Amino acid sequence: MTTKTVNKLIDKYLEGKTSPDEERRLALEVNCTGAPAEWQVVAEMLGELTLGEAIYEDTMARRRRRRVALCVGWAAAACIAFMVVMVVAGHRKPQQQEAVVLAQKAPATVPAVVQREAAPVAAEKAAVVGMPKVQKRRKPRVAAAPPEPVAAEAEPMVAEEPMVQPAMQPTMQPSTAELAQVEQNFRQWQLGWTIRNEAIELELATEQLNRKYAMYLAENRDNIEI
Amino acid sequence: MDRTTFEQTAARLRPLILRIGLNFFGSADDAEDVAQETLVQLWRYCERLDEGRNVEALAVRVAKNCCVNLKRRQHLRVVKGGGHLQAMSAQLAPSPHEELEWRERVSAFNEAVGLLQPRERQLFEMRQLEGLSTEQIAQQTGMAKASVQSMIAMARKKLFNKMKGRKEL
Repeated sequence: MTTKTVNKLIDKYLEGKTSPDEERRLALEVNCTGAPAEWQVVAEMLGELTLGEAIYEDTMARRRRRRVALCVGWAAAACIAFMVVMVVAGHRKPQQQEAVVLAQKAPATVPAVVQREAAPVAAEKAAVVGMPKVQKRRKPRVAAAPPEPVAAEAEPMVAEEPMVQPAMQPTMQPSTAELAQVEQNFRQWQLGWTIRNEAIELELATEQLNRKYAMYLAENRDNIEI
Repeated sequence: MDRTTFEQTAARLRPLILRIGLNFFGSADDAEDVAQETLVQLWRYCERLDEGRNVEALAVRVAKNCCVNLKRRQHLRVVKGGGHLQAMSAQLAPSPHEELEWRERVSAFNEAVGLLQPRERQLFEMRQLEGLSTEQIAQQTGMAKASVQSMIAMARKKLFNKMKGRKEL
């Protein structure tokens, strides 16, 4: 507040036109060191009570302002943090989508390194379930198979089979006898299927013949002698 | 106001004063100190309190003043407790000469107020002590607002001239 404003306020005070709030402000202004004599008189007139109240109100207002400023500061910080999180999340989303697309494009085969790492784990699992263990790459099942007469047929098949994932191959490969059994079963099934087809065809043909015979009988009912 | 009436009034005012102290200090102990000091000051002023006076408004102003004084004293205690700022504490605390001067000024002011017309004095004190606005004084006294304003202005001018003349001497 300038000296001119304070003097105007003093005049207003002496005319009895000031509000209690203006008087409190005036009390704060005139109570200073080295103030003019008029100001000192007004300060005495306003009294300790007005000055004390003015200081009290001023302190409380300052605290309120500080609290509001603190709240605004926190709110601004929270907004900035939220925006940063949103921006980071926005950047990550396309990257994740890209990763999914790349994963879809990638071949379905499992890399050899992963297979090697997975082999012991698979073996443990198999042991728990009671399944045959997974054999490692350097222990091919073929070498351990006993030489059987039927194996001569099966051996070329095993040899021809490409070893794409030898680490993951189970130790219980079908033996040559089993393979021969499977082949036999398949042939039987094939034969059975052929027989069944032929029976169906025969049935259809019989039905057709019956139908023709019935028609013939109907046409030549009068000429046939029973 | 007699002692019994004051005791009743004090019991009614105590929670209000405690709230003011608690708002300012945020401590129940300090609020209690404020309440005690305020009631002591009101007790000293008790004889001058008429029945028609707004004791509540006066108590609020005295309580606020006590809060500020207590804060000042606490600050002074902190400075003195530090032990290394004696000069500063001496600056903050009024010297005996200043205190004597202040007492003289207060007694001269009270003397000047005593010389006012009874109505002028009543209106001036209502404004000065209770901190009521012109409208509130007009409502309480049943006078016109303009009359209240002119009487207060007259009282203030009289006091101003008296105090200024004393200062010039």
